[in-house]
Amino acid sequence: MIPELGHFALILALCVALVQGTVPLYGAARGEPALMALGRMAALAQLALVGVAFAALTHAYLTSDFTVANVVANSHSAKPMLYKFTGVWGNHEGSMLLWTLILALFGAAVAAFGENLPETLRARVLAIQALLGVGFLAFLLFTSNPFERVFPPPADGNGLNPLLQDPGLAFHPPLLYLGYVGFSVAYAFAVAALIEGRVDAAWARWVRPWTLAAWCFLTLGIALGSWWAYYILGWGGFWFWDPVENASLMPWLAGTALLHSAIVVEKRDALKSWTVLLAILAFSLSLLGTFLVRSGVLTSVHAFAQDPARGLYILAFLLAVTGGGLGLYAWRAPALKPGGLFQPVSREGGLILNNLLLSTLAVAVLLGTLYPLFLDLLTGEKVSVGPPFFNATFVPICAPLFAALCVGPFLSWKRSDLWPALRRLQIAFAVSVAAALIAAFAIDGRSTLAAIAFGFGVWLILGTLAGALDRVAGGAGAMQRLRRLPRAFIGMSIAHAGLGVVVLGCVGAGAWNLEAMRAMKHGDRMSFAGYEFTLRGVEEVPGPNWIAERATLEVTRGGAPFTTLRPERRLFTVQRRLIAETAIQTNLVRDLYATLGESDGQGAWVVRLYFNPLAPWIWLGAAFCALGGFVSLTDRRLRVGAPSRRRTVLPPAAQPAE
Amino acid sequence: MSTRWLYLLPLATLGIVAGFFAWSLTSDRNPASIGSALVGRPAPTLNAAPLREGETAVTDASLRGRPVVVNFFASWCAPCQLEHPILMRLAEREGATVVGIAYKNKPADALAFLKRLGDPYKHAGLDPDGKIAIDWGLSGVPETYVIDARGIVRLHFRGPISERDVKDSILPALKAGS
Amino acid sequence: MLEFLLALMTTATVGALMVPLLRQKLAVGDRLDHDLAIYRDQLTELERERAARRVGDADAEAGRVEIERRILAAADAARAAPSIEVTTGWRKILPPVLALAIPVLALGVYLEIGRPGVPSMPFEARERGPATETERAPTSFELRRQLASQPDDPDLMSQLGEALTRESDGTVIPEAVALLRRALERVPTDARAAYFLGLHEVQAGDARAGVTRWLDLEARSPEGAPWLAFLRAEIERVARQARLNLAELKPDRRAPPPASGMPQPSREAMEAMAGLNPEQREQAIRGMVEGLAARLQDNPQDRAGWLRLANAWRVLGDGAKAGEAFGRADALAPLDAAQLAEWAETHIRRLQPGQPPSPEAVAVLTKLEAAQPDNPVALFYLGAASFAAGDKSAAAARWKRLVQRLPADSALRAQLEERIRDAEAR
Repeated sequence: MIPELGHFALILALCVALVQGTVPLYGAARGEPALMALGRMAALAQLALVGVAFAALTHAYLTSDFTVANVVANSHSAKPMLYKFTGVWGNHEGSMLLWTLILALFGAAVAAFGENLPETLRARVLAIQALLGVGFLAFLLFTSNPFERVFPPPADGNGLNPLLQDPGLAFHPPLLYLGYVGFSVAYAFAVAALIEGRVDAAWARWVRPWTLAAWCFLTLGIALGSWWAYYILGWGGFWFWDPVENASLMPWLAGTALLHSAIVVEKRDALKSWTVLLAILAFSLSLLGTFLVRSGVLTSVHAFAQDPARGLYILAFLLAVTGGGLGLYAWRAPALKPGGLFQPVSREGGLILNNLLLSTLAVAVLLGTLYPLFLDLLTGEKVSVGPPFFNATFVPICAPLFAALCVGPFLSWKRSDLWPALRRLQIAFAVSVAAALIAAFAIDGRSTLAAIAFGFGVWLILGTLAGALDRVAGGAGAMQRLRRLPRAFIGMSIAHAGLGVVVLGCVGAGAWNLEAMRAMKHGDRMSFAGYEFTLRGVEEVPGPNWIAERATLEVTRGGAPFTTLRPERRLFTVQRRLIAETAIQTNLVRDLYATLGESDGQGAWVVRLYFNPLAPWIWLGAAFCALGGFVSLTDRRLRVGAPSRRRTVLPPAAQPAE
Repeated sequence: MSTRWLYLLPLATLGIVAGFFAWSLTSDRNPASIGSALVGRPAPTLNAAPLREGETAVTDASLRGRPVVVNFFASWCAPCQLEHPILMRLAEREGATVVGIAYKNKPADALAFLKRLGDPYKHAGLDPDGKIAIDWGLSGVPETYVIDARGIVRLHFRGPISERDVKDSILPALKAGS
Repeated sequence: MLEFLLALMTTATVGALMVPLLRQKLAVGDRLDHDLAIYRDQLTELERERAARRVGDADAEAGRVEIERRILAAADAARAAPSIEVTTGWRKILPPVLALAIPVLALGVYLEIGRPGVPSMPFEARERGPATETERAPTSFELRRQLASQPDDPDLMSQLGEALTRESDGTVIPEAVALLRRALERVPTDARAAYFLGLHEVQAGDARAGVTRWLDLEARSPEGAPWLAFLRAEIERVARQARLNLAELKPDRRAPPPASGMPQPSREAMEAMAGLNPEQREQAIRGMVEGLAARLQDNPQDRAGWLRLANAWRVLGDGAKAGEAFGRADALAPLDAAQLAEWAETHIRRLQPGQPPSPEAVAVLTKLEAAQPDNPVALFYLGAASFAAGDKSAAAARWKRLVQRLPADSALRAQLEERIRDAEAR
């Protein structure tokens, strides 16, 4: 019965979304308060209904209710409880339901916390959100229904892909979707603004918190995904330019550009149509990512079940959403009045440079992802676009981006002088150059590029620090000035410095890592990266739904015990798949990373060891970036609302107005 | 008026991209369709670090003097595993010289793969970042080339080779090329 | 119960949507107020910046003029916007329209795609016998260890060869080939070793040798050997792919039956076929069951073996073969109630919805009822059989007994009570 309740709730949600997508839009055009207010209530009701549906599916997973086809296909009664739970979204249908739930969540959030928005704008935003919801709900109900039933139920389920049975996966998709779907709010704001024909400083400020929140979640989601790949795939890499990764990187780049260009709209009323375009594109690229991953147009290591029919539906939906947005843009954006003028060397100029470079990066990723497909279709020729392409495009674009990143905050609006800004950065610059030289000659001389990148990482951190110091230091009242710093500025500094930390981490883990591989017998000893590793044995360990071979590697340093690593190879008994479980010992400055390989059948085991300096900084830095976003989100200015409200007493509905 | 067209540009781009997607979804595209610019031309240069400890690099010299089969593989690639028994047979039963290049593969993984499934390669090299693959016009793994004694590419297979490929093309080409 | 909750949910949803439509007072803010709030804040911020000497006086002045220009623009836009217009027409029409349209649309869609009659069945709450742990083929870990203590056991070699193949996603790896060859040297009739060696030959690009080996295996397998259907399917598959002429390879081949004995492929089998690598997957799962079945052909008195085979087929969704194996076990010694329940389930699985149990099913169910008079499955389906046979009172009697045993909140209860009324009415 509970699955049927969930199913029905989902259908009701579709009906409510239809109402929410039309009535408030009409109400906003006519200026009818009651019809506009309907949008808020509908958004809340929709969250409740999709929530019921999600809870029902979760219940079916937790109780292993094998009358639900989705549970049969993706769960198993012997699965640990946590993975029964994460199994809810570890498959196509469930993840689309999660996506829809988050969409409803954002809609309800706009309804509940959008007090500072004008009624007409809010009504339109909610209506656009609901129309997106209609698309997703119809997709769920008519092509990928999570509530399909099987009766009588089979004896047990088919289990979950063991690669996906991991705590990293538990929180990766929800965060990623919070980011993807969060951009739907920016999209809705953009479309609403185009309908209204008003993109101004006030609009930029209203859309900012939603973009910022989506961006933070997406940052965390991408970081978590990369961390997951790092330790579950078991070969020490952390970013593979895989289509799934690219799919999340494109909206992130567009969203980052949007965050920056919206500042120009807010402060100077300029770059309006560009900003609206970015808002439409950020969400469109999120959808494009979904399409690419699920349609089978491109294949990927961790692709979901692929189905051309679903692909065509998502394509049609993508076309409707993006095409609708861009069509409206082509129609209405030319009428947007250009705003304030500025010189090339100015804060605006810096932000435009930032936007140019970020959107070039996004286009590069898009091209790199789609080019093989296009070439194949056009000429039948096959090419592969891999890390060499992305490294070759990212390095020259990131270099000016990073170089300018620290300078921008020193520039003033409208027109500015470059030299004073550069003078205030000279210490940071000198230290960064020194860091690059030390990296090249003292730390690891294998790659000049890595040394330069290391210098850039240091530059990003120190340059940002210099910017913050500049605002605070200088004579008396420093403490007071520190306290008075706007949260948005603090957030920006944290995020920019966080980016520097990420760069350092990538250099360490990507270029300076060491690896070794050896067949070890019981008691064998191996020196690696200044540590001694002794294999103390391999034992068989039963798990809830797997059997593992677990190696015990004793690590000593200079004769003193240091730590013990226990890499495993797990055989999942239902799917009969072997998954290597890595063992990582980290001290936040470097990772010792061990994986257990094959046995030769004569008592020797292949043990692979990696020494990844600075690797944890990749995720630490990403967390800083997101933290910066959250800090910025608490800025007082984002909560400025209308001070007074008039109360209008409407005539009772029963009495005609005439 | 002219700037108005600028605003239509994003929509037009979307139209083109969407057209491609629709095409790729509806056409029965065979990702392994044959078509190579290399056939009939000299093989691209090859200079790969050795996969197996203590061997010399795999270079053009490894390809000269007799017809060879050059196979790009990776331990993470499922079709590579599918064709692997066929490569084993080529090496063991047909006496062919097979050269393997591990594509974007950590050496340890590639070695473990060969240990498990057997090692058909006379020479085995590494292409950790896919640079050789670009020279060779690779679209992915597995891909297999047959190169005659003078270093001219005679055959190029995209995707796993099958029994029929061996019987109808590879074995005759090896015989003719010597 | 379900109907009530669905109605409740619909009512709550429609009710919630009515609230803003029927409310008499609504706060209506002016768009301009919202704009002004932002611009005023920008002005104060500018002032603060000037006070902190972060902006020069001239720049601050220019900035102030700019913000004031925005205020003017906002005021212009506010004047152009439609004024708040309160018409009651919509407020009168919309509530009844929504109250009608939402339930009708939702129920219409639900009745089209929903399955209101299907109860939920949490795994814990399901009727399960004690012997339902699924047959798990031993892993290569376990087999390797066993082989270490019995290094000459050909059966273990063959099993390890199969396990290694399964764990390598269906590729017969060199280690497995060596093991299988050793096993076949010792026991030339080992069907499993012959099958997997043939598979190796096929994979290595010698389909002719592989299929020839399989045809030999087919020829010496007794008719009714459990692996025959699968083996024949494999021969067909490979012969088709490699364009081999079977008649030429084995002129004296027994003609295989036109279709395998299965009435219809199980859902799991269908899914496996749709998967990326259907043959290998199917083969991997079936291989283990086939092996068990092969052992039983040599030792048909092994009742526990038949029960394990029955369970394995049951898990594979092959009710017919499972039922057959249960029958073999039952013939050796009568089954207990739990086993009878599983046997009955294999029959019931194959029923079309609404169809009464087949005569074979009734036979098993009758045994089950005799062993356990209160068994709900027996009561339910024997009731259905009696009903279909026209014995309405017997049907009602069985179902009433069943209802008494059901928990108060069981989903089945309402459905049953309706059926009882139905039986008693006629």
